[in-house]
This record gives sequence, structure tokens and C-alpha cells, in this order.
Amino acid sequence: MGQKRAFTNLFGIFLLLIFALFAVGFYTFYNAKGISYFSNSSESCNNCHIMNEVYNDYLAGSHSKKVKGESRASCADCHLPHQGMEKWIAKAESGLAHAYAFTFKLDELPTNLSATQKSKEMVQNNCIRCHGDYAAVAVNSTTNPHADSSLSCVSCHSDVGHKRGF
Amino acid sequence: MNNKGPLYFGIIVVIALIGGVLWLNNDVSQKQAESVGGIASKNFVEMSDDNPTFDEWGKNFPDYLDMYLTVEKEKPFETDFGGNLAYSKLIRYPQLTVLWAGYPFSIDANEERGHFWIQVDQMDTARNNKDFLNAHGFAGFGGQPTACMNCHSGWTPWLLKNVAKDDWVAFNSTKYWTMIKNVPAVNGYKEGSVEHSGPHGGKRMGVTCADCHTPNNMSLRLTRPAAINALVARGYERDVEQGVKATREEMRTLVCSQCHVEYYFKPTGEKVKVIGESIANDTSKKWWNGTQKTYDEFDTWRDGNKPTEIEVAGIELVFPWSEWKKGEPFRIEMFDEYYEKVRKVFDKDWAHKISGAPMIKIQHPESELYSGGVHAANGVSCADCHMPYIRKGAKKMTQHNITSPLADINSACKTCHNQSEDYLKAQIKDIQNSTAHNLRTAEYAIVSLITDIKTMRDSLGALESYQSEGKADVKKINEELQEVLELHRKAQMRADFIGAENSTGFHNPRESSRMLLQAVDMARMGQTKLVEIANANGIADFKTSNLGFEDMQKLNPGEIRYKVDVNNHKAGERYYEHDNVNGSPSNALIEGDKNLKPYNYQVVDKQ
Repeated sequence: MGQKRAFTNLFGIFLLLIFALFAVGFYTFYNAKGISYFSNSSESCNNCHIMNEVYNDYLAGSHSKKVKGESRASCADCHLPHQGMEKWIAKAESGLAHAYAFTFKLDELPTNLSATQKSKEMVQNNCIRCHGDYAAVAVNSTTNPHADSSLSCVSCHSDVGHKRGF
Repeated sequence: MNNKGPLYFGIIVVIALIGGVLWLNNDVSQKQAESVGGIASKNFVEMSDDNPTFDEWGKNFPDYLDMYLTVEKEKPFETDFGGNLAYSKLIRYPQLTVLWAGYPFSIDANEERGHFWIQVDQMDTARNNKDFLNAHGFAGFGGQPTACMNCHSGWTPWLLKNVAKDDWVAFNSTKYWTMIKNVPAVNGYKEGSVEHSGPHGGKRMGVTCADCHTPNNMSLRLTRPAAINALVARGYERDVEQGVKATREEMRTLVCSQCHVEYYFKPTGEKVKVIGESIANDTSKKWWNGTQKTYDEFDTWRDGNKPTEIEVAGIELVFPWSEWKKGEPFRIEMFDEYYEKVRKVFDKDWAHKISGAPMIKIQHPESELYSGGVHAANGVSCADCHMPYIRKGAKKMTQHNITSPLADINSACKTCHNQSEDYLKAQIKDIQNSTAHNLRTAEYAIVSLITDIKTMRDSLGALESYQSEGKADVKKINEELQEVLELHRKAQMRADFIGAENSTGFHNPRESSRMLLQAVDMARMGQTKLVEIANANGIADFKTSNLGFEDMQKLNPGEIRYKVDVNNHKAGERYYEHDNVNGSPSNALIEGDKNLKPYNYQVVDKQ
């Protein structure tokens, strides 16, 4: 009997702790503005101070100008794929990597960031997605991804999203 | 019993997870707070000009103080043409011993090493040691005046106000070693203690926060009268609070211009009352050469030595800028015109020991060279590259460990330039290599000219028409060589300008090339004139010289050592106490120089 009661008490404590874990977990998620990362809004990218300069540049640029209350393009419109699952996988991938870097490697990050190859490809695809219709002639002749020295849209239009064309 | 084990384990794991999440939450909150400022409000000390020490001001800005003090503890590093390792420039560039012959720089010149060390270096240099200079053939030099201290000590505004009673000329005209004795002890240090003599708040304290920042709001300001006077002469308007009226953007360059400029000590032509030392009346105290000591080369009043009042010839620290108007790029011809205009009151820094030419020594003219460069034209300030924005934790700050931008190309260059760091570094290296090639060419040409002038002086001196009472007449020879001596003066001014300027051309590559082309042109023109003089005087065997890298290496003076017993030091003893000062540069640097002139593209361009 005694043993069983002790077990039940212990199990109670375990449940209580699990509950506490969820509680602090949810609070931390809330504190880190976790929900905002499910949105498409550019403000959430700027939750992170590291983005302040780029965000300010973006606000001064043409893509942030609002049409019917909506920006012409948000950070995610250019920096993430648009197809359903692909978008969420890319979002989760970079989200986790960013969270890890900001938590543990903040002091090692360079002051000025450079785009990765993957990021450059996503941006290029998004340029074409919106502007492809009337830029097709230029796109087809100059941006062949299989050619070694092919240009990308931002090779020339480097200030379009934000002044620092990384 | 048995099934309790996993439960305990589970409980421990969950507790550890809770701990982890709490830590993460704390980390998130902390970084959020930092990114909006996060200045610690506790223990705030009130800052004022009565205590300008960086230790005191730094209590409010611990991160900035840490950055500023990095150079105190970090291992000194070399860049190709700079860095903060205080190796001997005379060992790396032995030609300087000839170019500066007869001037104290020809026995002691080290690479500079950061604002923190600036006063330590001034106190230690042989150029500020009258007894050492006396004993090494520089009897004409009396050690440095307080005018030299203007840029080296954060105590300058305090001393000017409290000791010199705002008499600018009196302040400059006082002996350096007399003025330094008046630095007060603060921050709990005892008067005359080791700490009081040290860099932290004491007499060896270099540049401080207060030199560029206003105490009540930390805005930028100019504190040095020479800089304010010079800017007013250029067309700026005086301002009580910040020195001159200027935007914050301009101030991010002007605060550096307080010191990174060419300057000279202009004789005022009047006597001025300054502090002297009672040691002048103590007949038992003699300099090395047996003459009466007039001051004690030590930083505190000791052995009964007391302040007295004496009268000396007045000097004023002046930047030769009046020909350079506000908003214009600087041109070297403006110095020619300026120094020509003041020739009646100031004809030279020194007379060249070998050629006899009246020389001007140029010192660190960064403000001048930068003013006409592409970065200045685009509104980039000194602080933008030398104090770039960096991230410390989650805080955005300006780098206060002021150093070569090569130390952090990402922060310094990539804010504006999108190319890779390697690309940017290669561009800088190319500019510096080509400037260094031009500079070495100019220096070798001028040493060749000096050598030929010496030969010509000897040849002329042997002719009867250039003698009086059987001896060579210096005056007559100088008259015959006048045109050549002027070419020596002007050519060396130009080479010296780029040599003393801390960027090896980077601050303005085009103007650097133009200046150095002139220097080579003038030196070679001087040699041509010498041939004409030889012809006119019937000197048949005169030949011009063309000296190079290997010839210069033979002039390597080595580290500074005592040649005779002076002030408890034995002959042969090393002058500098610290190993990392006045040593040899690395072999890689010497090897690099060897390949620059003549330009060995197969090596230089492949690095």
C-alpha cells in the first residue's frame, strides 16, 4: 500500500512538472514572439535586432510601398519559396538555424551578412515569379542558371529590396 | 520498487528541460533588452572635465572602455605597411637615417601602436631624452616642449586650464618634463605613486573619452585649440560647445583632425612666463655634457626640486592650413605656399646634416590626404571605417578599439561594398603596393641626390673660389647649391608626406601618386642641376648615383643602444626596456619591400 501511494505521489509530481514545462515553454514561445513567425509579415523578421538596418533600408525601398494597405512585397515574398510545403520546410529550416545562431553564436556572426547560394536562388526565383511576364526576354537571355557566368536579377538591380544588396 | 526508477529519471529529465527553457527565456529577454539600448543605470558616475580619465568615464560605458583597452592586452600585429607592432621603422627603412640626418627621428622612429600607448611612447622615446640626445651627437636639441603633449595626453585641456591658466602660448612653451609633473592624482591614487605614473588615470594616460566627447551628453566636440584655430582659418565658425560649427557627420571626421595632421611650432617672437624647475639653481646637477641641468627628466617633483617661474621664447602649435580653404581637397602645393609665406619666422624644422638644406619634417597628415579622396567625396567619415558599427552581444555599437580597417574588413568595408572580403583586401593591397613602390622610388632617388650633394660639397670646397682663409666656405657653397637644396627640401617634403601618412596611399591613391611623381622628378632634377654645376665649375669626375634596396640595407642602424654611459645606463645596453618596442619587423615585411622596388610582379602580384 505504502509503496503504491508513494508511486502515485511521484507520478503526480511528474505530471505537475510536465505541466510546468509546457507552461514555461509556452511563455518562452510567447516571449520570443513565436506566433509571429507563422505569419508572412516583414515586422516579424525585424523582431531580431540583427535585421534593423536591412529592415530600415527595405522600408525606404520600392517593394515596401503599400498598395491597398498591403506591401508590394514582404521579406518572405522574396526570401522564401512560394509553393506550400516547400515554403514551410524552408521557413522551419532557416528559423531553427537562425534561432540556434542567435542563441549560441551571436558574437561570431559578422557585422555585415552575405547571402548563401540557396538564398540567392530563392531570391532569383521570386524575381522571376513576379516580373517574369514582361522581363522574360531579359531573363531568358541573361540569367540561364546553367551558364557559369550568368547574371542574376540583383546583379544589376542590387538596391531594389534594400540598399545593401547582399 | 522496480518501476520507480524510470519515473525518477523522467522527473530529472523534465526538471532539466524546464531549467533549459527558463535559461532560453532569460536569454531571449536579455537580448531583447540589449537591442533597445540596455545601458546599466546603476552606479552611474557624473562625468566632468575635472577628471577626464577613461577609467572614470568608462564606469558608465563599460563595453566601450573594454573595446578601448583591447590594445593594452592584445598581442601586437603587423599589417603589410602598418598595424600596431612598434618595430623600428629605421630598421625596416634604413634610408630614413639619411633622409632625416641631423634630426632626432634619424636615431629613433618606431611604428605607432594605438591611442592607449601614445603618452607612454612619448615618455619613453629617445627623442624626448635630452641627455641621450646630447650623448649621441644631438647637442642642439633640448628635449620636447609641452606643445608635443597636445595630442598625447588626455590631461591637456585640464593642464591648459588649471596650470597654464588658459595661456595657450605659455602652455606650449613650457618644457614637456615640467608640465607632466603637474598632472594631478585622481581615482584614489597617491601623488607620485607607481599608479600615478601609469597610463590608467595617471601621467602616462593617452587619449581619453573626454578628448572627443562632451561630458553631459557625450556629443562630439573639439578640445584642442590648435585644431579649432586652424579650422577657423579655413573658414569654419567658432562654437563654444563643440569647437566649431559642424554637423555630426562632419564631426565624425573633425575630432580625428585634432591630431592626425601636419603641424609645426611657430615662434611667437615674444618672451613668455612659464613654470621652470629649481633644479636649474642646483650646481651639482649637470647634463651629460657638463652643462647645468635646467629641468629634471622625470615625471614627479623629487629630491627637493620645486616649481619656479622662468621666461622663455614663446612657441605656438599651428597647423599650416590657411591656404587650404573649407570644402576644398588638399594639395601639397598649399604647404609649399604656406611654408614660403612664414619663412621669415619659421624657415625650417632642421638643417639637413649632409646636404645642408633647410628641411620641413611632415608628420601624420591623414586629414589632409583623405580630404581629396573618393571616400571623402562620398561623405564617408574617418569613424565610418576606423570605428565601424559592430555588434557586441545584441547591441549595435561603434568600435572604440580604433585601428586599421584591415583588422575587420567585414564591418569596415562591407557596409557599403558588396564584394567579398578577399576581393576588397586585394584592392587595398594593390593600392598600397603601388604607393609603396612609388614611395621607395622617391626615397631612393632623394638619398641618391643627398649623396651627390655631399660629393659636390666636397668638390666645391676643394676649389679656391669656394674657400675663405684656406677652408671651405659653407655660405658660398650653399649659395651655389641653393636651387638644388630647395629641390631637396621640396622633394623630401613630398616623400615624407606619404611616408608619415598612415595609409600608404589608401586615403587618396591619386594624390599620393601625383605627390610621389613630383618627388622623384624634383630629386632627379636636383641631380641634373648638380651636373650643370659641375660643368660650370670645371669638375670633371662628377657622376650621379642611383642607389637601391641593397644600398639602403647597409645603412641599417639596428636597435637603439647606449653608446656611452648615461644616467646609470652602461654603453651597449638596449635603450628600450620593452622587447616589443624598437625591434626588427618580420622577415616577411623586409622580403616584401625587397620585391617592391624594382617591382617584381612575379612575386608581388601573386601574393
